[in-house]
Amino acid sequence: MTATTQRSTGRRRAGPGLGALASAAVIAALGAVIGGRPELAGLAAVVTAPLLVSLLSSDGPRDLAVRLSFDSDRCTEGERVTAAVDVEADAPWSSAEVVLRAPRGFAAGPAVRSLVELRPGTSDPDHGPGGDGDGAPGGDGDGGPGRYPAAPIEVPVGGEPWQPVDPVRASVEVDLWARAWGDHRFDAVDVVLHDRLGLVRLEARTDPAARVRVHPPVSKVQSLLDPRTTRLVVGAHRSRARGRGIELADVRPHVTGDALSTVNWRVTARRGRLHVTDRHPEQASDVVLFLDTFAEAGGATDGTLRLAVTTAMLLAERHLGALDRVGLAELGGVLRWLPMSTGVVQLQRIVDALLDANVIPSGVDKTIDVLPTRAVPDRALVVGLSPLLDPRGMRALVDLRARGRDVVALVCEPEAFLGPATTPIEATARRIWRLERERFEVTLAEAGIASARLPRAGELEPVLSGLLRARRAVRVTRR
Amino acid sequence: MMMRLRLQELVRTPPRARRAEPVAWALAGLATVAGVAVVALTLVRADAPPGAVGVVLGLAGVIALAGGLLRGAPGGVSWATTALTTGYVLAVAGSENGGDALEAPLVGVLLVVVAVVGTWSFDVRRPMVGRREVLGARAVALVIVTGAGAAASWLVLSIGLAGAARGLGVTVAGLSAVVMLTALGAGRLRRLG
Repeated sequence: MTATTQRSTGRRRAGPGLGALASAAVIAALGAVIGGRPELAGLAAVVTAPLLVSLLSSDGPRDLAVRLSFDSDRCTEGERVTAAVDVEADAPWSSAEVVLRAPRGFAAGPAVRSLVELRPGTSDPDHGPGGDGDGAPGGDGDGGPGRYPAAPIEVPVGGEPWQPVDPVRASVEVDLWARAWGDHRFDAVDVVLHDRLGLVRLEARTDPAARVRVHPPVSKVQSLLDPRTTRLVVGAHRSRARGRGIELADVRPHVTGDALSTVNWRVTARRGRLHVTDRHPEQASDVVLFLDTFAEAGGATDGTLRLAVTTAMLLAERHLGALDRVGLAELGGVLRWLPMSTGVVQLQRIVDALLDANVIPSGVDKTIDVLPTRAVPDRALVVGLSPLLDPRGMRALVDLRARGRDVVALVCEPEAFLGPATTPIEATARRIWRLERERFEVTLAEAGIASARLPRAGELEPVLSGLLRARRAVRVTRR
Repeated sequence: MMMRLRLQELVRTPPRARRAEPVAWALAGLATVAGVAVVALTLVRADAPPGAVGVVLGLAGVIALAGGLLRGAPGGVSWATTALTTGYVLAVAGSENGGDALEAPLVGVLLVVVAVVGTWSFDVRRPMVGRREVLGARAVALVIVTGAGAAASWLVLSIGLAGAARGLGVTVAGLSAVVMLTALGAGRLRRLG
């Protein structure tokens, strides 16, 4: 549960009915005076009654508080999130019209625009919605007015301190369906308060600045990418060095300093001389997920960026689970990076950063020179996630490899997100485009970067296996 | 693990938004019927040329009302109420037979229905939850306010038009106006502190 509260001062407006009644009253009164017909004065009196009631009942304070809360600040695509809008105003407003402006990633149910009665709230000086941003529901959860702890009685500006006005409040619940992954911000809640007859309105727009993060549905992956170098920390990667570990490396004659526990007694007995077993230690490594956000194919709900983000989440979770340090670098219209770290908190950071990833068109010729050194350390395995649509993304990976980084590339297949070519010209253009992308892949291979294609749908496991095979095939030279 | 895994079959789709709002159309229909009734009462009073003009104005008002309600233009309600009122006032003021127009408070009630209910129909034009409760409360308030106004108006008119008691009626009406204005002023002063 997350909640934000905003206070706002509304603008009072006369509805169309109020002007109509006023003009009718004036015309009838004039007719009565000019024509000398008291009956028309009676007509004017009838018309004036609701006019006066509306004007008098709406002549009050104009401050109101709007609280927006969600039952969950995270969900998966296709899931439902319930947003609750609580409106609190000082008397005497009668009903509230609440319009929640949902971001594009959400499909709203029928209740996104609500008209509710404002009812007197109960006073509880210990609890209030007042802007702490993290209030918890304290009522019985029936969804009606008074569901949240009531605010203390507030004295309206200009009012007498010994005659406080009881606040009136209303709650609206709105069902929202998450359509597209991402970090979605709710920027506006429009509230229109009506008087008892609906003739006078108090309009206010609040900016609750609430956010809901929508995750793409992800599965699990077992494979780990194999970094060339490891750290001197216990992990899950087989190190090239020799030491204490599980995997057998070699059996050699005993030299001074070898521990007795490493003596291989079978070989010693057969050879008649002390032999020891060498093993590869299991160590952790560093992984940097390099996201190319220069361009994407497909839409917001399903595209190459979504594919890259989903894969990056899976890899981050898997490698952090294997005690690796994982970082994130995003190069595109905007440059962002997350220094490497370990643990669940780092996974949370990476996932949040990935959900905020976006393709922002830019014509700036960015290279990896704009990346700080600590964003992509020397000994880290760089996993490039790119659709290879923009040469700048491809060039960044090649440059990283040229500077001695250990780089692999997972190419998000953009063609799967495009419709079939409908005209001969389009088909020809598509073939040329395909050739250009193949040239990018050849360039990667020539630079010593193993790559594998990420299909639109399907398991990641065989892709990673293919990448590991390709990595063994690529001749690696450390420059 | 913070990411909740969901199977594809659990993915739900949002319900389709409803397009038509019968409540809004019912309110619009009620306002239009009230407008037609005002024109009918204008027609009853139209026994002179100003009355004929009033009927034409009233018909124009009904057309403006229907058009405004159909097209979602709130200005139509304002123009329609003004035209209907002007038409009836012309018919009564220009009447030559001199009869008492005791239906005037009823016309006032109908004009209130045109203006207020027509406005409500705009409020509930889009799908909204909770509109029935709000409309119910508004209707009760409208009946009370308009009923009280009409009753007072009829009372004053009956007394005022009763020949010898005309002076008494004017006195009651004047006193009522003075009391109302005094109460208004006092309330305003109290708010200003």
